[in-house]
Amino acid sequence: MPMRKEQKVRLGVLLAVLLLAGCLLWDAFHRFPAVNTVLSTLTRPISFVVGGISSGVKGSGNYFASKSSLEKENAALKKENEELRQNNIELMGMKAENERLGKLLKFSNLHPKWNMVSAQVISRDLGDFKDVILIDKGKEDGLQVNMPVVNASGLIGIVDGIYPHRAKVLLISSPRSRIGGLNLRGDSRAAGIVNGVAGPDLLLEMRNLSRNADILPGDTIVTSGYSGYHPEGLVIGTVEDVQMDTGGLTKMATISPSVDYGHLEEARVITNFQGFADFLRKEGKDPDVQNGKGGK
Amino acid sequence: MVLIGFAWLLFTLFLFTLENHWFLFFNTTQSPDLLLLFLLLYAMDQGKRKGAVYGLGIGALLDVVTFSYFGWHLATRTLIGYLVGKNRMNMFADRLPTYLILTALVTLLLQVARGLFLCVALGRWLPLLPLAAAALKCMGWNLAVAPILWFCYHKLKRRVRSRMDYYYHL
Repeated sequence: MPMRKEQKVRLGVLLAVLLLAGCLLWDAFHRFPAVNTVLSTLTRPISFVVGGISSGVKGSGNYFASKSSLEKENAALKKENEELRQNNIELMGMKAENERLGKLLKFSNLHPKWNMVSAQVISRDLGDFKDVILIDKGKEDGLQVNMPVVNASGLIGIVDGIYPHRAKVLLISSPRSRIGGLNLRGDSRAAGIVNGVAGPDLLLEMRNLSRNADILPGDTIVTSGYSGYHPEGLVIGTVEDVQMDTGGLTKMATISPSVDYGHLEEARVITNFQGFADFLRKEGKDPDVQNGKGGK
Repeated sequence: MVLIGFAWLLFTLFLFTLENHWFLFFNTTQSPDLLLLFLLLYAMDQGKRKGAVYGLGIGALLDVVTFSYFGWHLATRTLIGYLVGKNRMNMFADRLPTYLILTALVTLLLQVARGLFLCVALGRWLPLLPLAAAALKCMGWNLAVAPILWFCYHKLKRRVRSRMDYYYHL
């Protein structure tokens, strides 16, 4: 239905009034701050709701738009995190190895007279006895039976069997091992024989101490060198407990070994130690059948 | 037949690895004797012949990879497999308490035998207390793990048997 002339005029007037009111309001916003404040306060709830809806719509749009890029970024970050974690583990391993080797080097520098061959522990006894380890150096590297094996903490054991590129090391915690031990404390120097006891904690015991031997818990026990198989002064362990022997004639001490047998990784074999046993061998005699050899 | 043999070998190596590597992460010098526990289960289930043969295999494996006294593991494991298999009719072999009692008994006997063997080999008496402590610790480990192994073995056995059943494939 076509609009009548009168209606057209009314519509034109209404539009003109609205336009004028808009211009006045626009002008009032900038010219009269009081009007601006009142109008802003009145329209704030409406603009809050409208703004919330529009930002929600906009946020949803952004969410859908950036989901794929976020997933990609997340995957990349996860990968980077894995790589960093791996690097961290490698660095921790290197740091631990560095510390161990540093200690070994320090030990070598403290004993410049000994030639030492470095070796890696490649296996340990996995059966009922658990008293032997295998190292990756053997006859071809200059190792011989009965050579002492040490690390920075002290004496590990002696070479018990030899192969071209491997060697068996009998741990001092084994009941088969017997070593001459000496109390390091200057006013004591009590001597005895240290051997393993096949117990669960790999503790050692020091026997044949004289009844009046001056030995106390906390004393450090080192090799005496009397056996002819080990150089003197290698740390064996610390005294934990002292008691009289069953017969009451001698003393017996329980020793906690200085070497951590559960975490042996590197070892050094002293190859140029010349003990009494070597002297006997040079004389053409077997040290193992000599009286009073002190054991090995 | 070859495949089954290979599977047994793999399973034994798995137990051996578990026993000697995984448990050592716990900063301990001891671990449960999983191979012995499994040997007991197997001998109780299969009898003296298979028990002795499996014991022989386990003993040979242990003697090859250890360096102390060759023949010790071979002899002890074969004997354990044979004796447990032989006496399985005299016990309630399908009950967990029987297995636990047997585990404790065999561990204790093995540790005593080990101590005596060491004394004979070294020609002197070893102190009793550390040996007793080692035996008790070993028994504790074995008793702690034995129920888990029992459960796994019987669960696996039921599954394998049902798969091998004729009606399963119809």
